[in-house]
Amino acid sequence: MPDPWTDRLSEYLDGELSPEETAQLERHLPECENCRVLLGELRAVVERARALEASPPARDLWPGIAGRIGLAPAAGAGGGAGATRRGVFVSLPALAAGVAAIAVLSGVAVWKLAVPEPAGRDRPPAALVVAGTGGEAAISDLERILDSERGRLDSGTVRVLEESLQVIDQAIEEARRALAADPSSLYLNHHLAQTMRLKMDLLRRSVVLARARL
Amino acid sequence: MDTAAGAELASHSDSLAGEVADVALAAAGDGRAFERLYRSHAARVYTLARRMAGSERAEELTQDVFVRAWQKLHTFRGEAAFGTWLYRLALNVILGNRAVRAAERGRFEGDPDAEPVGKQRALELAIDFESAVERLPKGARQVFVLHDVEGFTHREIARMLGITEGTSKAQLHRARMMLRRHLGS
Repeated sequence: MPDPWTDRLSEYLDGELSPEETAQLERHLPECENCRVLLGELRAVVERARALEASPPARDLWPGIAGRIGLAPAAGAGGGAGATRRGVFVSLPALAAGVAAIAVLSGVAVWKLAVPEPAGRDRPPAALVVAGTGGEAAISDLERILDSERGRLDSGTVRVLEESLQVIDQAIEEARRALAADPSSLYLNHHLAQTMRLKMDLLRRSVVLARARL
Repeated sequence: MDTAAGAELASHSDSLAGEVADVALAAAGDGRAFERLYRSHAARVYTLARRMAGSERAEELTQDVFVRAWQKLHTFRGEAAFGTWLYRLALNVILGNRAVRAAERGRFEGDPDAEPVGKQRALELAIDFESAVERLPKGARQVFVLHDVEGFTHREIARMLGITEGTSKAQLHRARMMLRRHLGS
C-alpha cells in the first residue's frame, strides 16, 4: 500500500502543511526510512534549483533584434553611429524628462544615504571623483554654447529643456549639500559626478539639436 | 562605511545610474543604449526562456522579449528596477507565446503520473541537472522553474498559468520527484 505521506513531502518542505498535518508527518518520519530518504532528496533538488545560474545564448542574438526593430545591426556593444530610430527633435523632450526623473530619484537616494559615518574609520581621499571629472568646466561651456543657440529651438522644446535642467540642478545642489556634510563619501562623489554627466548629455543633445536647425 | 564597501557601493551605484541613463536614452530612441541593455540582460532572459519553453524556442523568444521591450519602453515609469520590469515582460511574452501555449494544452490537468518517464531513465541519468529540468514535462517544468528557481508562490503561479494552486503544488512535487534522479549528475 502506497505511503500517503509520500505525495505531501514537497508541501512539508515548503511549509504548506497545516500545523496538525505537520505534527503528524513529524511523528511519521522517525518511523519511515523511505520518507526520510525521499525528503532529503527533495530538499537537495530545491537547493540545486536555487543554485542554478543564468547562461547567455550560444550566439549573439542582437543582430536579429536590431533588424526586427529597424536598427542597423551594430558592430559592437557601443554600436555604430546613428543607431537611432527617431530624430533628435522627437527624442529630446523624452530624454529630458527621463534625465530629470533620474535626477529626482537620485536625489532621494542621496538624501537617504547621506548619513554620518562613525568617527575614526579610514576615509578615502576627499572629493576625488568630482575633482577629476572636469565636469564643471564642460557644463559651463555647453551652457554658454546653448545660450547662444537656443533661439533655434522651438518654444516647447525650450520649455521642457529648462524644466528638466532645473530639476537636474536641484539634484546636483542636493548632492553637493550631502557632500558638504560627508566630503569623503565615495558614493556621494560618484553620484554627483553621475548627475553632472547626465546634465552634460542633455546639454550636448540640445546643442546638437540647435545646430541641426542651422 | 569602509573604503572597500564604499567603492563597491559606488561602483554598483554607477552601474545602476548607467542603466537608468540607458533606459532613458533607449526610450528616446537611442539604439546603442538599447543594445547595452540587451547585453546586460540577455543571459537572464534567455535562460528563463530556455527553462520555461525549451532550447528550441529560447532564442526566438529572447528576441521577441527584446523587441517587445523596445516597443514598450515608453511605458516604463521607473517604479521598479528595469531588470524587474523586463523580467515581468519576458514572462508575459513567454507564457503568451502561441506555440508555447499550444504545447502546454492538456498537460496540467491530467494525471501527474501519466507521463511516461521511465522509458528513457537510463539515458536521463547521464544528463546534467539543468538539462533534466529542460526535459521535464512542460507543465511540471514551468511550475518548477517559477517556484523553485524564480521564487514565485503557488498563488502567483496559478494566476500566471491559469491553473489551480492544487495543480501547481502537484506539478511541483512531480517535477521534484523526477529531478531527484539527476542529483548525482
